[in-house]
Amino acid sequence: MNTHNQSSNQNGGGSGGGGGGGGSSTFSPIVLTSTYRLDVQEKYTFSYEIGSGTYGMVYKADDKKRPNNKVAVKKFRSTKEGEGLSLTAYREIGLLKELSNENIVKLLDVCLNPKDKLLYLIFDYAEFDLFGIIKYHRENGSHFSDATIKSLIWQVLNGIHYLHSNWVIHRDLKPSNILVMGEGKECGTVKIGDFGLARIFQSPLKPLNENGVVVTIWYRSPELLLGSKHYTRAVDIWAIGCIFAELITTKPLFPGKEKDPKIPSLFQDDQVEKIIRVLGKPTLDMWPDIKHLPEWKRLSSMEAFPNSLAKCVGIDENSQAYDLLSKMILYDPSKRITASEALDHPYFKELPLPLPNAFSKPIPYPPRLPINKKKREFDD
Amino acid sequence: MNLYFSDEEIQNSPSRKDGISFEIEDNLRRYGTEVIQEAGILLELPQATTVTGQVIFQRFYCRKSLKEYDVKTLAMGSLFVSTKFTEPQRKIRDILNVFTLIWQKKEGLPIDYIDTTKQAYWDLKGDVIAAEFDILKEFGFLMYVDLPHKYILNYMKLLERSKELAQKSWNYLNDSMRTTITIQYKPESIAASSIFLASRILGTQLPEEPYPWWELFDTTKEEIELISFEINNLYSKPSAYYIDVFNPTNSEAASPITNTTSTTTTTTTTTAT
Repeated sequence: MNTHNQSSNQNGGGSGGGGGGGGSSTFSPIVLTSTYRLDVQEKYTFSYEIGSGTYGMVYKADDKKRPNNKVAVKKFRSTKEGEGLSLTAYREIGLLKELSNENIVKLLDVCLNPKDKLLYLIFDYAEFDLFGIIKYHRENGSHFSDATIKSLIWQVLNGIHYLHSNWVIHRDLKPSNILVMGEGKECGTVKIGDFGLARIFQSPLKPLNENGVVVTIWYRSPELLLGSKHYTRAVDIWAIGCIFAELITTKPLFPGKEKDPKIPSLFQDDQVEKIIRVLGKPTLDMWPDIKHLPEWKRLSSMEAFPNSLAKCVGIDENSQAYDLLSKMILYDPSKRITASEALDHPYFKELPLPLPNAFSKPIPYPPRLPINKKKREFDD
Repeated sequence: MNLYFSDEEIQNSPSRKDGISFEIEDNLRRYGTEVIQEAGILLELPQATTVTGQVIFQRFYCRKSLKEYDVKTLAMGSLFVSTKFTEPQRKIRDILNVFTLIWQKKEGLPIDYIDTTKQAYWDLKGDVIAAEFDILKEFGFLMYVDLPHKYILNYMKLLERSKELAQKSWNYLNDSMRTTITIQYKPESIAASSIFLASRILGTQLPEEPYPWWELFDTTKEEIELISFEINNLYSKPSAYYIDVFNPTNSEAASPITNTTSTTTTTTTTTAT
């Protein structure tokens, strides 16, 4: 597209609020020319379905022009109400087209198919995600190496720092959204994905697939659980802290049971109890603003527990890993460590150092398997 | 990055290749952006959403011909896309109802709500969703619009100028969306020109010492005068009206634009917030 010789220095837009802090940087959008674009079927050879969600389906596919390039094709269903393309698609594309970082999933192509009037997003294919590889270790009774844990967390923080510096809050970080590249030049590189699903006040999402993965509240921060309508970048840091602990233990840190959405009260008492059993009950001293939150009274009437984080995670209270973890899951969001501060934490400066390739050779994890079921019917 | 087009690109837009004159295109651009503005008011949309829709509309006809895409459909589609990008959600049925009401009023037809059980409703709905696809496909989802309105607000706070000057500037800015200036110049320059016009009409002096006021907007006096001329020229043009150039059968019957001067020069008023 042509531009006038007077160029603006305006930054592109990102969604989500944020307090003061990191300055925004200038970046150029990746401009994909859609004119005369071929059907998605003419450009990509579909292999099999590898995932699904409320947005639609994800398929593994091959780029016909570059046979060695695997891609992930995300197919968006039309909205049930016949309102055209979904807001999820708008949000995800709008963000991903503006973002460029080695630890953020890369949007390669956007196909608006003339035939079926459906929207397809094409991404780099990532063979693994944290959910799958944590599950592997849990089921085998094995653990990640220290080097792998440190490399994965550093890369997640690096990607999130990039987002937060550009005024974007992910809002839906969990192991299944943290992708890791398989064999190839980017082997072992984290790719943060799924920018369109983040919803705070929407009713619970449906199961992601038949493997039992559901969108859970395990990674939801206490300020959100207590009814705060104002959230900050700290909600992402809390989620990463939960993931950090889960990489160490191969078990979720706060596996609460989500309430039936039909129950009038939205207070997730089980999830909150799971948190206070590990971190102890928050006090006004450690979190002064807590008394302003809608669900404060419910929390204050809950049973108190001592802080047993070190024991639960099985790490030394005097270690740098414990120091970083505990700062990521501080109750008070204003005191929680930022992504920038976390990247500079002594944990990442002691041996073993974080690496671009988080995996050791050979990679023990099995590749993604096709979802073994018939295609679902969509409202096309 | 914003999307800008040159004078030449607008003079030689895709519509020209289809035999549509510059005057007819200018008329239809003004018509489309006017109805988007009216629809925005009826739908109680924030001005940012309405203006974003107008910019999308203006950009689209620098890439596609008026003969290929009907102005009415594109006006609805542009506002529909804008409501999704700026996220004050509106149902497509409400958009259809509002635009239909506007068409009916403008063309002197009986006022009648759309019957959602009739095929005509579903055809119209399909048209809007198809327009959404065409808009997104054309720009590859690159829909970011940097609005000039915020620069007026910032400037007024900085200089502690009167609310009257702010409101007048805001009105000129809203009107500028009906010209292609909005896709030719950066938003700071358009904001500066609106302030310039407002200060002239109100007789308000703007500071030129110790440095000229327009330098705050990273623009020049020459550019301000050029843009101001185009905005002012808007009020000398006849009222915009719909011509069905989309339908080939009727395009030959389209009457040429007369040179009659409009007797009123009202500006579009929305409250600056």
